[in-house]
Amino acid sequence: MNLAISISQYTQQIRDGTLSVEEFIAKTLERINNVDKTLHAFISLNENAVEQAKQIDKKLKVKEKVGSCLGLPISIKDNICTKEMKTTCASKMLEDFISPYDATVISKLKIQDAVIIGKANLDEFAMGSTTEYSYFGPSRNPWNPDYVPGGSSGGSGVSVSANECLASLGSDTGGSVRSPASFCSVVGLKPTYGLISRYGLVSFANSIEQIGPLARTVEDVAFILNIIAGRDLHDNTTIENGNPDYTKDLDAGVSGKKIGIVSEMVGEGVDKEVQLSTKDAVSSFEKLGAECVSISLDSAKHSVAAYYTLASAEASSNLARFDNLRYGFDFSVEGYEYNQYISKARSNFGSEVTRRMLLGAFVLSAGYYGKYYQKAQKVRSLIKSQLTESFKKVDLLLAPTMPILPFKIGEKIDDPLKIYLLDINTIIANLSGIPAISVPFAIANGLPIGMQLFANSLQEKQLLQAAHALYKTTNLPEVPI
Amino acid sequence: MVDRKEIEHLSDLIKIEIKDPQKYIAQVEQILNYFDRLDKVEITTEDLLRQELSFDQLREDKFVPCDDNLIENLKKTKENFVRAPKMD
Repeated sequence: MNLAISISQYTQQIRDGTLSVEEFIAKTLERINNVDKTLHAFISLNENAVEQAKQIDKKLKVKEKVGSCLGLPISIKDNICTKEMKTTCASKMLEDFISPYDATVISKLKIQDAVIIGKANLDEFAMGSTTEYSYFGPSRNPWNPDYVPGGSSGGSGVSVSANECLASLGSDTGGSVRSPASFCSVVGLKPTYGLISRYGLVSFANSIEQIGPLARTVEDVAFILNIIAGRDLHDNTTIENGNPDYTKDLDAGVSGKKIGIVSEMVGEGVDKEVQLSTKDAVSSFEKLGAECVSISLDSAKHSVAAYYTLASAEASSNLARFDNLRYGFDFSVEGYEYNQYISKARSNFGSEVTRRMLLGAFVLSAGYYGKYYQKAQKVRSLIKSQLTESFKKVDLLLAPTMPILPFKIGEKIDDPLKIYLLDINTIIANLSGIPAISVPFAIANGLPIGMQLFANSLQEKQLLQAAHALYKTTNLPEVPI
Repeated sequence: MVDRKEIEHLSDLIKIEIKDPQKYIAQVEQILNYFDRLDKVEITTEDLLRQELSFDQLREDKFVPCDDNLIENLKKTKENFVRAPKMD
């Protein structure tokens, strides 16, 4: 049985009766069992997956109504709450936490009969770009296990790439869906801010983050987006999107479209192989009938500083709730004074989370607020207005997702600023709220390179059409594991 | 700029006991130095990004029962209370 199929191939085979949900789920679990000791995409697995698959097969057999996912196995980043499984955020602070409710995206997937196969590894509380900051140990890149898979949704990228599931949900605060998508050679979408409910996503930086789907094809990403997008009463930042069918007209192509190449994202600091791939992507688009022009976004140079100022500030406030009293790890309160207990319990946050909270407290403190936080907010506005101007001239923007090729595990771990700078090409989408997608485009030295497209707010349809067109020009090898 | 005292003060604010403040000094200082570039950006606008929410987007203010048993997984409970350490 082939696990390396797309969602549309899977649902077709289930409908034809040539494949049962139970067979596919069992085979998927066998695959996880074989490769995940090496890759460590998962923090926990769904013990009831086979049973749930059997139930869906039963419904199919008696021709009862079955949701559109037809039992497809999906992995979920472990900062998205699930009722029946732990949600650890890859932190010691939540190592035993079971949420009393499902996130809205989980409820929506369950209604459509998706099988949540397991909870995927991440950098602790989604803070990181390599998945090395997980309390449970790093995930590894399926293209070469000595290399990082990107992050923070590293487990999501790995699980999709290594055929341990058909799709995954990650969260993208500064590039956390697109980075692992690029490094693991899968498709990853960061939707418009407000398109997908964040209810049940453990908050890190509310004004910036979005849940986003990862899958092996653009069509599959559009399929999952159809299910999870839309307004939610539980999240007042969600917006009305008119519920378009994102899978419809995917073949519309890019003929006559104008695509801007962001000059700040393709020059200095970008690996030679990545620069060459970007040139190839440009010529692919030109062959498809698009007009490509160079476009400057000079505010992008300040995006990393603005983003880490704002995200750290929001993190220091959001993570104040983890007092280890209502939920947390085993640590008795006996013999402690209140503040002493809280500080002691919270010393179990990992070093990156602690560092971000230190930074957050610093940039918000009296005397520095105007210099950092307020200035970062203004830079954020500037980025948004420059993007609005750009989208008056072009339909889409193009840049490599990651400026460099995947690197070895441990190589940059002692230099947090270097890791922050990896987000230089992705952050503008988060600060401005616009959608962006990473498409697998090339393999260089055995390692994946992803191309990124941006569109104006709520232009997901146009974004997916262009991504689909680019994706179809590629002919990438199978994952080697 | 950043010294041991500063890290200890910040660790107080974020309520995290930091055993080795030394470890964070150089890194936090390096990152803040990088953030300093924000102060040099020329910005003429005073506009800030904000999301506006109109009242008709809010649901009606009425009681909606919650089916989830929100306290069933709580730790350190005693007779429906959460146990907390003593406050001085």
